[in-house]
Amino acid sequence: MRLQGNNYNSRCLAHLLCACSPFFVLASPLPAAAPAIYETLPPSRTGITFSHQSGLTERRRLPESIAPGVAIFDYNGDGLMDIYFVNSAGPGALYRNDGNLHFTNVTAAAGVPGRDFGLGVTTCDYNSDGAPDLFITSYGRNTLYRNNRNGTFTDVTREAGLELPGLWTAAVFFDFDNDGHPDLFLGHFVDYDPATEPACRYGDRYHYCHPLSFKPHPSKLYRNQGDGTFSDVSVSSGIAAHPGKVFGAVSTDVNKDGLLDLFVANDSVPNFLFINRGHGKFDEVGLDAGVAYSADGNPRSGMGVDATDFNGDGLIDLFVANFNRERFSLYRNLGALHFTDDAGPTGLGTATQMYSGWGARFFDFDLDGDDDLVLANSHPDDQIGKLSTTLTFREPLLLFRNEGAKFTLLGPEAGPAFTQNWPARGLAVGDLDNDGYPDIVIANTGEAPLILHHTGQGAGNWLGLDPGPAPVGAIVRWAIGDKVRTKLLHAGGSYLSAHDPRVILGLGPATQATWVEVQWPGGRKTRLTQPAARSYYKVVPPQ
Amino acid sequence: MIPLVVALLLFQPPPVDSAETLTRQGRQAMARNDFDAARTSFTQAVLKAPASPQARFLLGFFHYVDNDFVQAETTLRKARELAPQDPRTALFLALTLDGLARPAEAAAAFEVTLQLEAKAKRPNPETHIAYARMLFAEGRLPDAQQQVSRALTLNPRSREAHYEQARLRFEAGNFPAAIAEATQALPLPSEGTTDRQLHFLLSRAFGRLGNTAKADEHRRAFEAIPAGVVR
Repeated sequence: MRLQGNNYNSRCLAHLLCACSPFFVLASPLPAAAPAIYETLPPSRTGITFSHQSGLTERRRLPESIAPGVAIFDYNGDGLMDIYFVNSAGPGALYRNDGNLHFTNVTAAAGVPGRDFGLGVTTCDYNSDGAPDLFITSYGRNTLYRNNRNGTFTDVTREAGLELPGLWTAAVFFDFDNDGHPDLFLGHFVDYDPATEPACRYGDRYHYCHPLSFKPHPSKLYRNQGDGTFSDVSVSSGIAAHPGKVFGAVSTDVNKDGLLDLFVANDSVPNFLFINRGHGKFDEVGLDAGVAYSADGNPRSGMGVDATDFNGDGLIDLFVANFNRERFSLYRNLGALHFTDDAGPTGLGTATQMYSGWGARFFDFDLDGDDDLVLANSHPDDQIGKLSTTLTFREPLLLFRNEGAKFTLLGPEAGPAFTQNWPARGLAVGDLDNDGYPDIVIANTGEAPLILHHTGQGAGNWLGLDPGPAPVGAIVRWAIGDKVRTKLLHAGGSYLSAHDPRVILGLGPATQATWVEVQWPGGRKTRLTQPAARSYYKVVPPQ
Repeated sequence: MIPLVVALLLFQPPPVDSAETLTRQGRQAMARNDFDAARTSFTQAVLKAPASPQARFLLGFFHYVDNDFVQAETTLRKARELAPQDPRTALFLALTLDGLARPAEAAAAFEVTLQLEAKAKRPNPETHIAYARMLFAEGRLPDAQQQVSRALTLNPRSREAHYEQARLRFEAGNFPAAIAEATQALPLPSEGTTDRQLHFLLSRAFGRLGNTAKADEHRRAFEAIPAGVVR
């Protein structure tokens, strides 16, 4: 390491003050660089040896380029977050968290290998028994695994009424009718039949066909009947009237009417914003709201999505990760169901212009109280590097700090994984070691996943809430002195993945919150007064 | 930007170097969308005449159109060294840097282009439009407005300039003015701005004013025109 100006001078000054020998000053190491925010945990540390099998063929069949997703959830109720990895051309893997960031593969014992060609995953307590269940989307048949509350699961797809083949991608459990039972939106990608799939080539090599080569396909909305079964309300709700090419979906309340809406990212056709009008009806308002197209009226290649109030104005904003050259979209909510794309002014546009985005999550990595952003990227076509010197298949992870009006891209201080390129798809955020610092799991296509552990570097104080497995639609408010912040707990988001359902509130330097309030769907409230930082609190709705 | 590209190709000065045949073949190949043949021809032309700014520009231009911005930058920078007063090369270098998501460098290159165009007494409204679109995408709306105003001064009948003016008015929340600009643009000849873009903007602007009948009318017109493939 080279001795540089300022360091050299300060060292000389220190030497004079402490009367050390000049030799000592020159030979002593420079101050160590600040530790990275995220360290990469190797398989030797975590015990996670899973590697995704994409089923890559010379023919380059469309489903091969889509997966996988990943879920962080506590399947056995021991207070430690476990991880489920979706596989495509092989069995998926459930890893039980043993503590101390070590995991054990319990797939066989738990009975959750998945079936057909796995793509995505979500979790939800669909039967309200207090234990999170597992839902895996597939090219083929989806699988609903009911948690038996004894470390095992049972495939209940058929009896639940969810056995339907297709090319299913995003699954979002949300209670659209506020009856206390989580309903299910099931996103479908293109109308796909391998027998009629066109052959797309560069010279003598096959490549994945553009989604425009395929027709759109309707998605599904299922109503949870509260008895372990679901009824198909796709037509009566209006969802089926809008065929799309769904990759990402998030349920949130964009118009603050207490009814959960749905924002759906489509590839090569307009995005959908389904507004929940109550009584089981949704209106699609994407064009009028300004979230369906680019500023020039072009549909983009929407993949990952998320929602948050990034600027603290009390309105939920929407995010879409798009294809390279399209720039990703940050739709700022103007109120009255109008949005404007703020990707340019916030710096996200330029920072994402060269990448194709999948996993996306707003979360508060520095625990200062506002939501930052992490993005997992990779070109869909593994052969793109042979055709272009500008684009590569593997692309960098991006970590942005929310600075109010700007999102600032972090450099190497984010961690070594953020200086390398990855074939990333799914992304989930969760606290794997219960230290309050949010960790990240990246699901790579055709490769081993990445486990990124937050070292605590540069982060403020925190306070955790554990509202149980189905808090969607709840509103969390917390105050530090006079400053009140709000977070709406939404469902879905990212890409084919599910996050730790607990909520981590950033407190900055404060050692306690003045108060914390959870407003549950339906209006009941739970309030904590002066809860101390650095602890998780179990919160339940008042009886 | 495509009409500008076509115009540039049509109004090339006659090739004078030994790569004449190859560059002509390359242009013909591009015209028939045979990019492999075009790449080969332009690459060979540069090999035959490495000091030819014309051959170098065409190869860089080809890489730009082929979305290979890394190659385009290298080639266009070399072409700029060979012909530092050529605004056309400077313009495509600016567009390439914009494509590489380096807006500060692109802005500097646009400024150089504008200076060269002024020096050559060949002011080009399309340069202002391209610059304005980049600034708009960056959220630098007042700067974008400056460029659009200059484009409108140079060509008051520019459909592109009126469209960009309409977009700026829309972003400013002045929906009646946005409608007026887009309506003015619709009958003007297109250099690249499509009817689809204008109907899209008009539908949104009428919608924001609560005029659902007009919003629906323009929405139907917008949806009746297929979108181009972006990838």
